[in-house]
Amino acid sequence: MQSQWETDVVIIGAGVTGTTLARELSRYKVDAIVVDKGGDAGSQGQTKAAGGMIYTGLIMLMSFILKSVMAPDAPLYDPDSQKVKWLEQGFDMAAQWLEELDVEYHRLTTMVVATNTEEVKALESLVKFGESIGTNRYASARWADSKMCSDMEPHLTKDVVASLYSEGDLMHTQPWDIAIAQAENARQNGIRFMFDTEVTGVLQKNGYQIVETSQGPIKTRFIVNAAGIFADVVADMGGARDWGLAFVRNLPTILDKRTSRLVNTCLNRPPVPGKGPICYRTLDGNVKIETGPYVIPRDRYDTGAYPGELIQNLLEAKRYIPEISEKDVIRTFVGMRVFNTRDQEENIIEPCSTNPRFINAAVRLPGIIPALPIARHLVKMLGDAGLELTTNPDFNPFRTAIPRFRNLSESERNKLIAKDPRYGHVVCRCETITEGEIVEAIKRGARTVAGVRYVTRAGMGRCQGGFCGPRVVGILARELNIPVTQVMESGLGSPIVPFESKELLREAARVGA
Amino acid sequence: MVEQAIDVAVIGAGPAGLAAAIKAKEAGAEKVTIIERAEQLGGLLHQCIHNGFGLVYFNEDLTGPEYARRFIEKAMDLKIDMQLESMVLDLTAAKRITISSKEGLRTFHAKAVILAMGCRERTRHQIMIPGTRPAGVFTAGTAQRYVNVEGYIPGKNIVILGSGDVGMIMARRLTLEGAKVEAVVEILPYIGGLIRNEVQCVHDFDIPLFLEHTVTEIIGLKRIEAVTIARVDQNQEPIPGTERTIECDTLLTSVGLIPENELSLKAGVALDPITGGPFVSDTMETSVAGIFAGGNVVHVNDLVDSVTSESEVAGAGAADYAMGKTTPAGRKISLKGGENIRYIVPHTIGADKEVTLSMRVREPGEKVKIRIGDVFTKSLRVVKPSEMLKVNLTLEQLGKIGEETGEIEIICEKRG
Ligand SMILES: Cc1cc2nc3c(=O)[nH]c(=O)nc-3n(C[C@H](O)[C@H](O)[C@H](O)COP(=O)(O)OP(=O)(O)OC[C@H]3O[C@@H](n4cnc5c(N)ncnc54)[C@H](O)[C@@H]3O)c2cc1C
Ligand SMILES: Cc1cc2nc3c(=O)[nH]c(=O)nc-3n(C[C@H](O)[C@H](O)[C@H](O)COP(=O)(O)OP(=O)(O)OC[C@H]3O[C@@H](n4cnc5c(N)ncnc54)[C@H](O)[C@@H]3O)c2cc1C
Repeated sequence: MQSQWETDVVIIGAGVTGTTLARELSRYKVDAIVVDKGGDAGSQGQTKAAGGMIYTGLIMLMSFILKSVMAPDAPLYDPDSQKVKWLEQGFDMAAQWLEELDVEYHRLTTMVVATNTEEVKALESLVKFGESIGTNRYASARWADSKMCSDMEPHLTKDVVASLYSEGDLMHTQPWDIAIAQAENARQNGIRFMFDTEVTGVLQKNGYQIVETSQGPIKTRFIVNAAGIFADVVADMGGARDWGLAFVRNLPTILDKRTSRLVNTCLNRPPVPGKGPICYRTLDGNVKIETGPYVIPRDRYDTGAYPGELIQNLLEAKRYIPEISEKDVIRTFVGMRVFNTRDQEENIIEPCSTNPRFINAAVRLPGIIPALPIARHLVKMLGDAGLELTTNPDFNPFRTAIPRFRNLSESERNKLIAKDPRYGHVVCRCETITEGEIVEAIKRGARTVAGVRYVTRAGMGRCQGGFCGPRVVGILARELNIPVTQVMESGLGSPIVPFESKELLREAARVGA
Repeated sequence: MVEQAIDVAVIGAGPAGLAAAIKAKEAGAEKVTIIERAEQLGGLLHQCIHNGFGLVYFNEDLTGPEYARRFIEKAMDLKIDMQLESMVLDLTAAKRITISSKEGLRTFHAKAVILAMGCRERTRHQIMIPGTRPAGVFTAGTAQRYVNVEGYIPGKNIVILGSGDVGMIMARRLTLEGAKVEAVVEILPYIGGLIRNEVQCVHDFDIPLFLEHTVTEIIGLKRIEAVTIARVDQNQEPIPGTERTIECDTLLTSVGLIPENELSLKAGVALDPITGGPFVSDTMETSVAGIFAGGNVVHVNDLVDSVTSESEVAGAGAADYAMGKTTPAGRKISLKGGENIRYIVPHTIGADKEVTLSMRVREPGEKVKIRIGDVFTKSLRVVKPSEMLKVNLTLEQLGKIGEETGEIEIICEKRG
């Protein structure tokens, strides 16, 4: 079989794990190809559904307690665990990482509220647990009485008697931004990307491997499996494994920006198994409800909303913020979280036991926080396996984001429009996204409606693309020089408008004749 | 930045904006400017290529674009200033308007403003349809734009949820384009749009109509593959065991329109939670002095003809305000919706000039009587929430309102 493509490393998956690795590899003179079955980076898999929270301190303490439900014998905090180390390192590296990539983030205050004495006790033990670890990192929580709670969160239920809060240990990003920015930066530094490319098999040859894909075979020396929800399926192509994947799903819900005043912090209740944070204000000013229930899905494709699930979610959040209303819902989606069955507490970051040149990177959540240390570890593993790592003297860590017209001052806007008038043409009215931004997103690699949406936010507002959808489709067709009928929502097989006017009538006439 | 002072600024060039601008100019306002983000005038009418427009206002049966053209030509004759491809980004209570266009940002300082931004469609997320989120699910108006303006057909096998006018019109349109409309599904026991559309768009084309049914699941990962529908009980809850699956590659939703009031909120205009639009007086003035509103931005109309008439009132009011001709604040009588009246526009009247009231009932009824305080009564054979009721109050009738009256209740009661 003749391979059209040849490379040193194939990275399977362009989520946060795969794109971080791609960028880290581009620090070296390494030839690598990232393949993803979806149409664009970051707009597939878990990365697009994540909360985008990069945290340590108070929320991390709560997640340690929650994890103890699954592994009751494990210590609450294990300083020697690789997972914990990477989570701490990842948080400490995050600000510089995001700034180099020009990824927006904002710092949120964490607040954990108690509505009765039992919950106050839970908060007290949370404080004790934090102090027992013995570093400032986990001792940042402060007490707020009910008066202070309502000053911090004026729309909070008056049932709150006290809360813990902490500042500075939570950064909120739009998670797909990270994958998109890294894909751009990695590409800038020489890494190749292939989308709409599904990996279907791996053949082991003498000294090299063939990655079989829907676009044809790729000859490579090393393979990294960063396939997220499908990491087990892809792992089987490389060799044997002694782990499987387990899934838990919930239904994050986004409210209209009109309601952004309802929440200032990332609002939580004391750790309850099967429940997440209640809600928080996103970077873009929407209220996002993440509260449970978290349930075991039928299978990994079970990504539809169940009847009544949303209402349950809203009722739960309303107990804390009574003004939350179903009238303000603009979008829901299913978040599929992944664990491995060998050790719920750890990631699988290891070569396949029967194929040392095939490395599995099945990251458990939270997977964005540790993405950078994990990627650096993966680079080291590739080096150990024989990949030459010569520094790339041309590596440029900086990427500049597409101008965000909505956030600019009037004079900055005028300057931008003078340079390129398309920045004066607002296409998405709900989020104020201009034609200039959309065209630039396509230039940088967005190829589908979802791709444009995740890069620019066009279509993420209250009308969900009802107004800008046809316009974005038109711009994609024009810029990519393809027929409108071939513009996809998010990848092959998802056309928006598959037929031209009169096409069905002509077809019927042919059949009839 | 380019700054400009004008008399009346009209935001939106749909039928509401056009009618309001024309009236403002005719009433004597000198500098009238229409600001429209699209590349052409006419608003939604541009994509409504079917007939049925103008039956009331012109006593003629016109298509949407024909109806719009009459106003566009008039506005041109009157030399009303038109700013196209110009998006209003900001509006303040002091009537400073910030506009973005390919020429850069501009600012207008207007003496009076008319809000005519129309409405947007409710989406599947807002009505919480369970299931996956594949391509091929459109609001009916978006599909209408694809078919009538862009020249593309969204699919071959179509299910339409909601029997609003746009949904029914699209059922006919797509059938004529060679697609198969598998079902029109309506949760209520009756059609949501006009009877003429039920007959001409659904029955005449033998399209299966499922009343008291709803879509209970959307199926498909990349492109929609099927929907499940089920019968509902009196509480609109799906009845277990009545589910059936309909294969389709397209789902259109026609499940309601929401007045587009983000700009109004920026200016501090108070909104009525029932209509979703501003509270307005009998001159169509909002809670912010000098800011007027007309058309679907105020409440969703079923006929463009009423959009036009209502917006003419706003235009005249805005012109008077801009020219300083407002009569000193007279009486303000609130209209309150009582038995089976969901809302009334305008919300307040002055009792010193004739006024047309638009209202909707909550529930369908037969052999009913509309009663406005003790000023007016009218018997009607049938009333439906989907058909707006219009009542003209003459000066003589208004004269019957007592000196002390601050509020009048309007009811729709069963005739005895
Ligand atoms: C609801 C929710 C909230 C979360 N909140 C947080 C949070 O606040 N903070 C945090 O740090 N983490 C959070 N996480 C976890 C985090 O999202 C994940 O750990 C992280 O995104 C994993 O990234 P990944 O690149 O490993 O996988 P993914 O993002 O799933 O990427 C895998 C990619 O592989 C591709 N792929 C799969 N199979 C194939 C194939 N055969 N061929 C080609 N391509 C293939 C997929 O298309 C996909 O693009 C959350 C997760 C969820 C679900
Ligand atoms: C799909 C559909 C089909 C219909 N079919 C019929 C029918 O068969 N018969 C009938 O009588 N009626 C019909 N109607 C109703 C009729 O078309 C509407 O009532 C009428 O178009 C409303 O007029 P409008 O001016 O209020 O709003 P629109 O026509 O929507 O006009 C609003 C204008 O404001 C502009 N705008 C909004 N925000 C801004 C901003 N920030 N800056 C600049 N410009 C802005 C918009 O671009 C738009 O052009 C239909 C309505 C719809 C939605």
